[in-house]
Amino acid sequence: MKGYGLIQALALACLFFATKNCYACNHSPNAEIANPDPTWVHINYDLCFDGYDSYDPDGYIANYWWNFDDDSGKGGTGHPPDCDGGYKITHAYANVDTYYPSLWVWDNGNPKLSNRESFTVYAISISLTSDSDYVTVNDDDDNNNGTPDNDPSETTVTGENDLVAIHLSVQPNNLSGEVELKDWSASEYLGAIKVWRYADKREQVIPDPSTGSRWKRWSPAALPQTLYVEGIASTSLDQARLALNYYAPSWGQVALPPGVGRVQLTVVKVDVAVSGLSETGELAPGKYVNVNWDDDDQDGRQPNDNPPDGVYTGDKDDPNVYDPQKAPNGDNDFRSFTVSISPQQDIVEEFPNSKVSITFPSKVRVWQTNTKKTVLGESSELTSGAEFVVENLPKQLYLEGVSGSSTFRDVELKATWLPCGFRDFVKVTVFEVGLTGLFGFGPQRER
Amino acid sequence: MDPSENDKRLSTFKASSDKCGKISWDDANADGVKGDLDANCEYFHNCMECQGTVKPSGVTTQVSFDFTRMKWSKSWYKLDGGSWHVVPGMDYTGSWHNDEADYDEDVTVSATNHIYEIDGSGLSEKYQQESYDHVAYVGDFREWVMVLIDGTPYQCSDYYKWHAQWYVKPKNGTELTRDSTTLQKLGSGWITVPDSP
Repeated sequence: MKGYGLIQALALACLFFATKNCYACNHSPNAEIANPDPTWVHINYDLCFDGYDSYDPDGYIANYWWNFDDDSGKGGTGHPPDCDGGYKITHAYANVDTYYPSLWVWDNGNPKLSNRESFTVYAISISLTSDSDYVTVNDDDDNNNGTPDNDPSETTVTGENDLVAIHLSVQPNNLSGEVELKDWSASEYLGAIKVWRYADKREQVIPDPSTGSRWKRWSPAALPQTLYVEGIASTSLDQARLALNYYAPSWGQVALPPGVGRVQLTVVKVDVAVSGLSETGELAPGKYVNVNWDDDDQDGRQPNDNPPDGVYTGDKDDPNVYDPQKAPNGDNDFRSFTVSISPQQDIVEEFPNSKVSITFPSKVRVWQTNTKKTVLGESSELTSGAEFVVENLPKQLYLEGVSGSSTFRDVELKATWLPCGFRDFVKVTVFEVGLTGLFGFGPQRER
Repeated sequence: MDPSENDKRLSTFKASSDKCGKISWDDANADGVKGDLDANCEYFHNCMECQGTVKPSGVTTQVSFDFTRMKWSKSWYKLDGGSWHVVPGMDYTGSWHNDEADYDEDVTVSATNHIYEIDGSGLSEKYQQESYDHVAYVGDFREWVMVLIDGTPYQCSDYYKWHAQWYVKPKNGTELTRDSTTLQKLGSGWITVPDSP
């Protein structure tokens, strides 16, 4: 409302003199633009044009016209509005360019055109997109060095294939100022993601490895076109968030249309958790199991395993390992493990009835019960590739060794969330000893 | 047997010079003569060596192994012309009996992924005694290996079955000698342990 009192005073003065000779004091109105010069605005985002400070020294402004300098304009009768009231003059530029919008005003009486008033508008474009809305917790081992790829020590991972690319741009790229990529996952840093310069985890960008800051700035000309997001820990839906902002010189952060320059990711963790094995130990040393050669329920010795004709059948070849007295808790050579996914409820809502598959090589078997008993009339044994809908997770299962490993950790017990291929696995080593005998009578048959 | 394993020595097996992979019936001292004397497989012992091949390869300290052996056996004695008697306390039939000892094992996995155990049923005395000049023995054995994982032992091998049978008789007025070779048995699998010889 600044200056309006002066305009009223001048108008009253003119009214006084108009009884004598009004035409003689009809001065031209003045167009005044309140917008900062220069102004930055994102394309396709409304910019408000403030011409309220315009005035007519001996009357009032009867009409106004904003020329937006893109072959369009907007005007009306009365005083040009400001940007605080209900009625505003707004315009969104469709293309990246530099514009010089101008304001024209006419006064009452014998109308006089004001001087043209103009200012500079830089219409810019910012874009931040991701190749996927979901990223997996990167705890596999693409470089086969025995360390989870998301371990802090893993800074270059040859063969890394679990990162999600994000694409950054600001136009025009010859702008001055700075572009900032910021992790705004939460007011308190979630630690759910990291951002890398390259797909093989070279050059950590966010958090800054030297300062820990959650943002990184570049000049527009130096802004990388592509960065890579790594999942560190699971989040709720859309809670891993990145923002790309532009800071103009002597202006500050340029407002962006809703959603522009923002990506929201969900970090998904598929988990195979083996009893007694820590998360960090899943790859190395992994889980040690034995070939299930014993006979917990002692039914493998039928009719007996006595000389000279007795036979013995180990539990690995026993379809039912249970006895109320001898093995009331089932097979004690099984290693229990749990398959789960998080954020489960969000995934159930976003991907109802999606499935997680369990795969494993033939050196192990997987059972749904620790007794090998049937489940609802069906075998308790799972074949590799068996699937569970996410609604039914977590699922407790049992691992049995049936054939010795050739090398350490050559068995991979893996769960894969099928819609996105996200997976987790545990390396397993199966121990077995094969026995042979060599025989000989004493050094001499007799001495 | 892998010759490179000759340097694996059973240092805890009494005063034995046995080396895993070199039980006494072979040429332990490499003098070209097989059947080298061994303190623990002399006289009338029927010796066996059990070799375990460990999977996976490359086991060092990640886990440890232990052989377990059980026996089903019986021994008899008599004086020439008399009747057989069961050696007191030496009737191990009717059920399996523990026959385990750690001093007869070398469970440090070799470079070729082997562990060993040796055993030799027999008579260490070559002289006749006042109470006997004939001795008979028939025994069946089963061996298996336990692996210790995270402090818990698990069976990780099938049973290995073997048997031994030996008969001795007077050699002269004071010493003993093996009876007919057809009465001497040693090998894999089980045989019948009779009620009497």
